[in-house]
Amino acid sequence: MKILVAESDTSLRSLLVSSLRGWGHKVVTVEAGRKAWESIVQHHPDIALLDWAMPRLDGINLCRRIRKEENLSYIYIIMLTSGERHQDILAGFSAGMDDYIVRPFNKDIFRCRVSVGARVAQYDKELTGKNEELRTQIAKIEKLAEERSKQLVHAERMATVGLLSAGIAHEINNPTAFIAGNIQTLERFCEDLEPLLREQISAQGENTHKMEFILEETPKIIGGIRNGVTRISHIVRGLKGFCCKNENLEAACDINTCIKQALDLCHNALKYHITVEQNLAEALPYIKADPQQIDQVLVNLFVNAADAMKDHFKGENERGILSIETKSVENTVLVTVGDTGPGIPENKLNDIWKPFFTTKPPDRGTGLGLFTVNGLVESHDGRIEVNNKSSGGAEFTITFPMAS
Amino acid sequence: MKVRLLIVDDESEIREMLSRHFRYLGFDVGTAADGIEALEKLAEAKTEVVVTDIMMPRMDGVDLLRAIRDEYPMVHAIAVTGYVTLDNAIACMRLGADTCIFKPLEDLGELEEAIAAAVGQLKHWQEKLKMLQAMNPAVSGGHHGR
Repeated sequence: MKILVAESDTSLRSLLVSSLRGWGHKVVTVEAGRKAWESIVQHHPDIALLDWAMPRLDGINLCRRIRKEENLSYIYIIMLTSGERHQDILAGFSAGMDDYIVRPFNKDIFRCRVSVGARVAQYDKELTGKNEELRTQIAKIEKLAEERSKQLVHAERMATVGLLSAGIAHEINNPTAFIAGNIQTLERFCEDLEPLLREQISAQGENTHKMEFILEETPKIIGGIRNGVTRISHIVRGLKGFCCKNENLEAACDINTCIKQALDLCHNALKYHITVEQNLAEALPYIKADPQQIDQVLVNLFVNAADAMKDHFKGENERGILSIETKSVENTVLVTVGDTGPGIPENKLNDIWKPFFTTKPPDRGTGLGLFTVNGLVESHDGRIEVNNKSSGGAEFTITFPMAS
Repeated sequence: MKVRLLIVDDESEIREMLSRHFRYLGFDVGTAADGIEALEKLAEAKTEVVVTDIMMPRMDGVDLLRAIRDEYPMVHAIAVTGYVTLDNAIACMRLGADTCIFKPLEDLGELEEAIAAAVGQLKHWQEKLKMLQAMNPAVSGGHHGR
């Protein structure tokens, strides 16, 4: 224990110090009240032995000051007094002392009183430590609860977005259809009109320049509108894929078969620059799922991987590797889809599931792929996670519950 | 003789758009806003191909396809739908639709090809019947509209 001895009597002080040191305590000594206060603030002792009658700042006042100071941890205070008047002793307790010893005192009793103080100080230390531990735990739990509630809010918002976007998709579909259709008819009109107009223009010979310009630019305008409509169509299709959840088409489904089908569907996207490495578990348990939706999930992941590697490997003979692995772990079936592309920037790992988030140019990605994938996996009571492999490239892991 | 199409859709913009497009391509085109009107139009004029939406008020496309299969087995039907579900597609297939095309029609080529295929098939049978008539004048013609 660290003990402060504040005693103005020099001979008593040295006696106390040598005894305490002999019993294995660390001792700090001062002779006057002011210094005692400074020393307490500096050394944070566990026990303080205070002379009742010190010059300038006496023991009682020092005691009050110690108890008032919030930044100090608990100090066991023993007052050293020469008298035992009831009033004085009561005043000492009310100032915050824990114990007192009347001079002259017996060394053994002094030792016992100090060891009581040491015991109390020890308890206090342990209690403080446990409190600190509890506080850390509470902070952890609070943080966890906050994160969880954020996730819940996010999930709910996503569900709303899903419903809303499905509705919007249906509403947008018809107007998109007649914009798309009309522009295609107009395109034919223009193709047929162009040679006739050119003939007339060259016959008239007036305003030729302006008319030429119109003839040149009209097909481009129509092309621009068509591009826009095509893009809208893709978005609408993506949103509809998201909404078509669980129409009771679930059956016992073999993931390995789905993987083969999905690979067939993506054949064109993979054949030129990607080698597929499959490591599929034999006799894999079935999962309860709509095979079409599982295909959709896998196709999305494969095409994403292909796109990531296409930009990554530009050399003629370089080929990316799409690795697909299935295995069963406890009551779940795991599908891992990895690529050897650039991976996903760490600060984007959370964003990739958001609707309309994409790293692809606008004419190649709608930003709905992984949003849909996540929705479909969750609708099958599954879970999808992503991480970057240490060897480079991204890796998606889907966990499905085994069919009962 | 021009080939007659019947466009059935509750959305007038789509009816007009498809009608204009196929009239320009040389078809004779009628339109109807739902299944009931479509059956009235089919009774009025000999029609080769019906292009029908699925979700419509009063009488939807699935019921129309069923009526066409039962009453006009020689008429080809093509479903065009914005409400793409497996149930819908399977119903169209079971009721004898040639194909099912999904809105939005970002490429009318698919619909054009489906119509061309239907017309091709009809022409093929017409030729077979003509050949039969030439071989055996006793066989009466002109009944193939229905």
